[in-house]
Amino acid sequence: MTVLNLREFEFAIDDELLTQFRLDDLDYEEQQLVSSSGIPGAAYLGSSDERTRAEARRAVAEFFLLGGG
Amino acid sequence: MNDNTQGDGKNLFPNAIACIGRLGEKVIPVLSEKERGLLLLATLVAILSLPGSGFLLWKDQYAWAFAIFCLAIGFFVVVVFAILRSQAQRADGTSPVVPAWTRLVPRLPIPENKLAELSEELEDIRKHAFAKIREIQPATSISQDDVRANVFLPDASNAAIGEVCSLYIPKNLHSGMNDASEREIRFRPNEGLTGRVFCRQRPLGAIVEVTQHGDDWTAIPVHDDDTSVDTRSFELTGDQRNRISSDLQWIVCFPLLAQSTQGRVAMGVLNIDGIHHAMDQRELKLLCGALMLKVVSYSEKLKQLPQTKLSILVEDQK
Repeated sequence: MTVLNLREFEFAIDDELLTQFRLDDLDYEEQQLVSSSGIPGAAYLGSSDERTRAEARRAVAEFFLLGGG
Repeated sequence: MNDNTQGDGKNLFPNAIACIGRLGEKVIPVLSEKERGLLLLATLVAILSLPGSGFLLWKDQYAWAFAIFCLAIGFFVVVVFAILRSQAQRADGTSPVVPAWTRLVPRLPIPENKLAELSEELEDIRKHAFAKIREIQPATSISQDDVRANVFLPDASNAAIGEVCSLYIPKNLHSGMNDASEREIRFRPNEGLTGRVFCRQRPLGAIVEVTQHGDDWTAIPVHDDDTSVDTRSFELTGDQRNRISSDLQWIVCFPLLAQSTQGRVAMGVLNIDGIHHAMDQRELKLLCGALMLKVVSYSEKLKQLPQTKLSILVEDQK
């Protein structure tokens, strides 16, 4: 009998994943929702400073991927 | 009569200290860590207020000295009273019980107009996922019909018979899922990938491996480091396996998180999955990164709906 086996895994936070974070992918309303979400760093995703943006991306990714529960 | 208790006043101070010490030995162990900390703080404040008030008296600041002394002693009295009250409540079993598990989730049924908005947003996420897959796999022959999306929300309508909740796909909160039977699948918390993401509150990916000899989906552990739990309890049932498309190749499963006063809670789960077309672990990681902000935005929309609080209370009885 052919059956389906599910192999699960977690997502690692690395530069490759973070490069996929693009605020431009969101429309204006979505950007506002993300910015005001209260997620650490989310308000700085649209910062004009590249370093601030990079730190914000990592903070949001850590909240989302590692927060645990 | 004991020499130490003679009324000549000579041993009054050491006796008082010893008495407080004995009282402390009896009381301190029954206090919680928070109560001990609070009592220590109140005691320190009360003690420090004495030299502080004395200094102000010396400086002829009578009003300030009186105010500081009263505040410090008042704080001490309030703390002691609160602790005594809490101890009494604990003793007679009326103390408030903190839920062992609690979630704020969207109230069901979701109003039709909101459902339509959420459905539209989900379709947008699905299209976005499809576009990203074409970026990640430039030579792919994937079609949009191969990418599907769905949202699972907790339904507590069976709470009265002891089922905390089950995760189901509300009407219209799916896209590209043509099989009605598959859309009717339900998971208990911690059951299947969806149930597990709901409980763990972090995204997971999964790749389906077709084998000729297996007899079940891979068991999903309750916790990574917990080997004491019989994971067979969380395997999919035959009914669930029959409902899942045999063409399924991969899943990226996101918790729909809300940041609330309770911290970070998952209100539901959003799945993007693929049929017919395989993706590897790295490609799914890139897809996860590309969809994350869209999912955050979706969660915020869900958070704006009226909510229901689900709790499990575990209360010891006398």
